[in-house]
Amino acid sequence: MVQFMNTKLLGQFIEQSPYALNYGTKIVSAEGDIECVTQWRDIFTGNPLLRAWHGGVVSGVLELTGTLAAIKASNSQECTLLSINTVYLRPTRGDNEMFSKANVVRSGKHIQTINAVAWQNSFEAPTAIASLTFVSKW
Amino acid sequence: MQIDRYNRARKISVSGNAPAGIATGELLEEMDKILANIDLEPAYHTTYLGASEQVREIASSLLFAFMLALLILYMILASQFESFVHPIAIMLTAPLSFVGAFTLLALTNSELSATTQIAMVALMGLVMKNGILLVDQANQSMSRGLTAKEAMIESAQLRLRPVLMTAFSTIFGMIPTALATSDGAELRSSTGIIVIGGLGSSTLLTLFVVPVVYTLTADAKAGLNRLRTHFSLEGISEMIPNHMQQLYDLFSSRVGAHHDQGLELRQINGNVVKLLLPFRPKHANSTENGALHTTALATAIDSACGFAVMLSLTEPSAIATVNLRIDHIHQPEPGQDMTVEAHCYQQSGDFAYVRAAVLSLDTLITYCHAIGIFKVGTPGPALNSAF
Repeated sequence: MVQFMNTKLLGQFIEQSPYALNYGTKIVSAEGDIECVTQWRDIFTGNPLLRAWHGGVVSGVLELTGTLAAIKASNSQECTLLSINTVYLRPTRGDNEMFSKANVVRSGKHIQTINAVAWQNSFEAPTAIASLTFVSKW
Repeated sequence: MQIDRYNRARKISVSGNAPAGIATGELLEEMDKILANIDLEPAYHTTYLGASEQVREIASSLLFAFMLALLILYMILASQFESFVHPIAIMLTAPLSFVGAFTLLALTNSELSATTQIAMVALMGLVMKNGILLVDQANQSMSRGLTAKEAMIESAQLRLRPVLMTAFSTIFGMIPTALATSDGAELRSSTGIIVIGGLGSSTLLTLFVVPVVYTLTADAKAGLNRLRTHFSLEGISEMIPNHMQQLYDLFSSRVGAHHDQGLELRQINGNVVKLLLPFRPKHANSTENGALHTTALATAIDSACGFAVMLSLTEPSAIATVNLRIDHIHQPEPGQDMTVEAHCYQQSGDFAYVRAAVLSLDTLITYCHAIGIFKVGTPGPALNSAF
């Protein structure tokens, strides 16, 4: 199972998931925390006048990043999301890529608690943070 | 000289005994054919008396008792399950019991006497407990949010033991009666044979037939509800005020993520908005037999909440999501469209508070619940300023 956890194999997981392919999210790093990047597309528009990312898409990308972290932490590809709480801190500007990072707060026998953060220009200025709870199949 | 009378008329009796191996009922059918060919004078008529009369009366009264028993069983089951459909799935176990009952009667060369017919009426009630055990558990599982198929699989696993225990205890209890050889035991043994054969076959077949009928009726019900929802929503969508529809069309065309989801406006009622979230393979969780992924639900919820907030505004204003919490309750089903409902229930200062849920089209299953807080009057132009 350790083999599965490298960047390449987590990337394959993304490629096999239609929703993840739709986001076009790529894994930047899977060493330690999971870090991803998602390029801007017009279909991500939330506020067309401010040209900002849609809140649901931001939440979705954070969820995807969190899912990868949960998979890595639990050694199970079947991690089901129980709850996600997303706090939007700043507008996520359109035409710019969005980075996301997820770290495992606690990986229990069945429950994984993950924190995820999204930013654009600087990690110090996050645009959104999310707290996610997953349950892995047992 | 003796003149016998019956019903104030003189009678001539013709009596006889049925040969061995021929039932009285079969004999009477033959007699009917013979009598039909006899050309009697108008003043004469024929009738059956004695055992023949009793057989005819018992046959008709048993048929009546049988039908009445079915009707009463249906009424009791329908009232207890509060469903017109579930009793049908349960009552299908009755004909399944006849398969085994008649087969065992034939194999043991027993007669289908009046006693065995009474036993069959009793058997009908006896065998339905298998179906009741299964359907009752499945209903409880469905009320916890499982689909009909999942509920029936769980029910079959949980109720297999009690079904087999009650069936075997009854079957083994009837063996002494069925094998009795004492004087007059023929009447009792056929009762035992009927119960053993009927209960055996119905127990076996019930475990396959009831789940199939249960899930089929659930599918049919869901299909009807979908149709009803579709037509009722079609009707309601015509009642959406034009300016609201125009606002929604603007919202949908400009908000890329909303458009990408293919969300359709179905109903507006005050600050409550109901959208149709269609299944799109690109939003699925897997390529084969996929269901809408939870990220797609998050986007749909945020969009529906945003639109509900816009509806609640008295004047145009830019809005932004501040916080969105989504609790996932039930896994979406493969290939299913869904309904997204959002209600902006409170505005306080610069903040609007929203509740939302993603439901099945018939609104029986809640896939997820959400609560959101939106900032009203954020810097920048308002999308709804044209209205």
